[in-house]
Amino acid sequence: MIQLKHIFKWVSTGGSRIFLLKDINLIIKEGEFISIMGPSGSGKSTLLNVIGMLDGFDEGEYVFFDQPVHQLKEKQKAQLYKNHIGFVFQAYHLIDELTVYENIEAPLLYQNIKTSERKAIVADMLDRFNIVGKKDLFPAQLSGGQQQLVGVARALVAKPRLILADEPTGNLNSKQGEEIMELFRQLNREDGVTIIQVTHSEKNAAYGSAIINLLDGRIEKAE
Amino acid sequence: MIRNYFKIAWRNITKHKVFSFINIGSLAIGIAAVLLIGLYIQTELSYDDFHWNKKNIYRVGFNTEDKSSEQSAIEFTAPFSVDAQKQFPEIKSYCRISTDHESWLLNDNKTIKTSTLKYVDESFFELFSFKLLSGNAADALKNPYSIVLSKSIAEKFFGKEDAVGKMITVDGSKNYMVTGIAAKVPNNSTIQFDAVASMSTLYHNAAYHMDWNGGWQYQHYFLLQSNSSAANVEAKLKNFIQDNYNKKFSGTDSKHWLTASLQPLSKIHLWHSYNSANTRINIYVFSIVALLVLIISCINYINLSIAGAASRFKEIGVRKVLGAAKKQLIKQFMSETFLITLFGLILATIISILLLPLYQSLLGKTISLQSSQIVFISICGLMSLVAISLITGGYLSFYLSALKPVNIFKMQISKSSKHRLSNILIVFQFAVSVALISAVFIIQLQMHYVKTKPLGFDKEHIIVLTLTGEDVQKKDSLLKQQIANLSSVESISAMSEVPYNDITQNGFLPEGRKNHVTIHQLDADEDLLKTMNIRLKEGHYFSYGNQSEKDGYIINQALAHELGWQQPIGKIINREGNHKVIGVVQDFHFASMHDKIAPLIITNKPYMNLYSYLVIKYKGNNPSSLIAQLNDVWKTNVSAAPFDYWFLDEAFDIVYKTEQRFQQLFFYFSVLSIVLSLAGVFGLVLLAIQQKTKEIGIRKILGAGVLNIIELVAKKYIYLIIIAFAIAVPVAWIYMSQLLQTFAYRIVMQWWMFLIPAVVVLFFAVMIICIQTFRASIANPVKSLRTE
Repeated sequence: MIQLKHIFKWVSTGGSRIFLLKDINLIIKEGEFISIMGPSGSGKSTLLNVIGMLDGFDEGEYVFFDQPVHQLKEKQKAQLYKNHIGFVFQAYHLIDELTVYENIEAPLLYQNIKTSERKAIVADMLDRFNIVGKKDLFPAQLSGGQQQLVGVARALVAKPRLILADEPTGNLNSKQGEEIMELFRQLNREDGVTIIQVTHSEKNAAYGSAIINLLDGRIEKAE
Repeated sequence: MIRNYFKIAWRNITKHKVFSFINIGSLAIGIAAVLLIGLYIQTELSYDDFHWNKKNIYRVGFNTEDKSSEQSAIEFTAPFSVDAQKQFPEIKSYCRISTDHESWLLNDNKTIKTSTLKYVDESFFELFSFKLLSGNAADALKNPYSIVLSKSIAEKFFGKEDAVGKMITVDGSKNYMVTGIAAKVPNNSTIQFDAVASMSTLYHNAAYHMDWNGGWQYQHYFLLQSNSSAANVEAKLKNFIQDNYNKKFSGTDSKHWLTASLQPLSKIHLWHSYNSANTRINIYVFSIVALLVLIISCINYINLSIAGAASRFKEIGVRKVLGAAKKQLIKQFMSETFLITLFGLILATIISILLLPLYQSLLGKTISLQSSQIVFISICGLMSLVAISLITGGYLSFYLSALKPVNIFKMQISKSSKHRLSNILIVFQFAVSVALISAVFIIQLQMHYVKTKPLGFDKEHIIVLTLTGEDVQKKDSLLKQQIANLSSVESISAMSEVPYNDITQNGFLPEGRKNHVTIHQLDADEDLLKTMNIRLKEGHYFSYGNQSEKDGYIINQALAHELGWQQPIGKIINREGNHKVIGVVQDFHFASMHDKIAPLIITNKPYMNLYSYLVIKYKGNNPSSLIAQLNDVWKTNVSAAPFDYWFLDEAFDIVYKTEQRFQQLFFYFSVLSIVLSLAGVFGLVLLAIQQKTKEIGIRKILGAGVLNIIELVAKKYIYLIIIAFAIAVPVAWIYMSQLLQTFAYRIVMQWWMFLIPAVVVLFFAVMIICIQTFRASIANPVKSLRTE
């Protein structure tokens, strides 16, 4: 489903180049649950952003569901990731001015789905995550774990094939973190959603089926 | 989807209350300025447009060869229209309107004074569209001694009774029959009247000369046939006047000394009235002011929104990640702008309605809200709404939607481009404000100069008594004698006119000239110079002892200069006989300071040997007891006529009322623009401090003091204001010198007139910055660094 071939990404400072990603080669099949690990500055988030088409790269090929992403225009890329990828962030990044219901509804608005359908989908999602009673609260009124839950719900609402999670449990305590990771496992096993997560924690990585270690922008180890 | 946008827009507004307040308030003020000024301009442009026949009505202007077209006389002798209509079929009908008569109307012991009684032809209510509440338009003004009263006067006399058929006395002697009641004359009518009487009345009064060589006291209005061209008629009138007037009375041979031009009714107010030039300038200036205030408001909005957008970056990034297309984001921000502008418009309407009374009193005229004006204003408001939304919303949308989500998450905000535009806008705002304030300052100085400049005579301590009606005027020497005996009276003189708001002109033929010259003529008795403290330069003045020189003329220096007479004494000036110049007075102002002192002739023989005013110079500072004494003298001698007095120095203020009004309005709008600019700076500084909180915290830890922190924030704005000043001064200089040129007597512009306003603006801006920065600089750095 995802193929990265010889991906390079650098920044030029003065005369020299600093590599953010060096010769990344990856093949990820549907239904996998991958964890990307590595020390700070190793390029984990950068790699995730590249996979998610939020950021570009300077050299190499990227094929996503048989689409040559490196040859696509901005608009087409946006279409792709809009329809197929859901993001979960460490800092949740919920929109503070919107209620829980509206936050979850947001991706659907941008896909021009009819009002009645939207209502049904969001209601379903709220029910699934057991947060129906909280649907009119604002993010500021929720705990960290609840916010992240909403974040995951939002990421799932458009039924993406792939979820990219950047340290999803980084701001949560151990119990909340466990709940989220259980959720991911469930999604992966029962719904067949491909998950790629960036994480520091060995424990979290254990939920996945494979681990990729990065160091200084290169893949050190893949197991 | 739109509902969603508005919902979010509303939440954003309520979340950042201070900014929303400054934003919406700023826009509201800008739009209110546009609305009010638009109302004023529309009123000026709509003068006389309520007449049904307006397309074919023309007023006749009479041009003598020594005047420009805007100075056409509009009053001429009586038979002009009558004979013209007989001769030219193009003139469907005509209406003459006499000059204003200051008259006393009396009924059953109630007296009402009016200064706008006009004698008009019977076609008045048919040619023009003044509404008659009762009475017949066709024949109300047919018979002599008929009068149509305005509703307010009729009610004062007769209450709710129908006044038609009743009798009132005019000026103590003649009885007139009330033949109609007229509705209140609209404010935007050039022709204003309290009452109109039939023109035929004057034909029955021997005192009025209604022939071709009579008094120039009648305005002539023509109603042309719809298919006639004005130019055509004008050409024909040329020979008509030549035959009937020039050849017989102009005193010159074959030249066309007098010609006529037709002034379309719709153009009279703006092009052919005494105040036209000023009105046009005012319209022009106020349009610019409105535009400037609006621009400053928009600039505030743009600046504040851009600065405030920094806090929206995260949200935008998230939305983009969730799949928002650029178009959708643009729509979102445009909806927000639209909503804010809508609130601004509503607030502006409320502000305008609340300020309307004050505005009207400042303008000196009522702005009646007729339906056409309400429509006009609504359109203005809507257009502002749309324009502002599109421009500011558009700019913001494109700016914000172009950001890449990745950069946002990495907190990399491109600084350079945002700041450059923001800086340019700030400079523009302040340049406008500094220019406006300098202009206001200079105008204030000019008005002060004009008010305190020596006039050439004393205007203080002078009471004027109006002698209305022949009966009173015949007793002028009697009154004068008795008043002169009062203890607090220093001197008293009788005059035909009081020299403060221009003096009537007549045609004279000076020695050595082939053509007539129009010169101002003042008739006064032997005590003029003493009472008004006017200086005599050469020769001597009229005196009681020397009656042989009663026929002579006193001229002013300006006349001597214009005629090129080095030695004026003894020269002859002809007007219905030869008159020798016996003295020259020093120039004194008898009109507004806009005009150079014009040539003047003082005679000792008033028309019909009757003076119209008694001018009294009194001693001491408390004239109230004197007024009571004057009242007694009056009652003893002329009890029937009402006692009317006024102070000369107060009358002078009236002359400059238009300028003063203009000055006041200009002042208020300038202050407004400054307040808006400062509000903008306030908002920006607030945001800058918020964004620099971390930097301020770090610098404090490194040892910065309060002054250093203030310098950090204020430096940029001080620099910008100085640039604004450098731009504003040349522009303001050019504009102000043009404005000052309209005054014949004016101040000289100097650099400090610009420096002081700039310093004032700078002072306020720095104050605002200092107060806010001070608060930020005493905050605990730990707090500001912790949220990292």
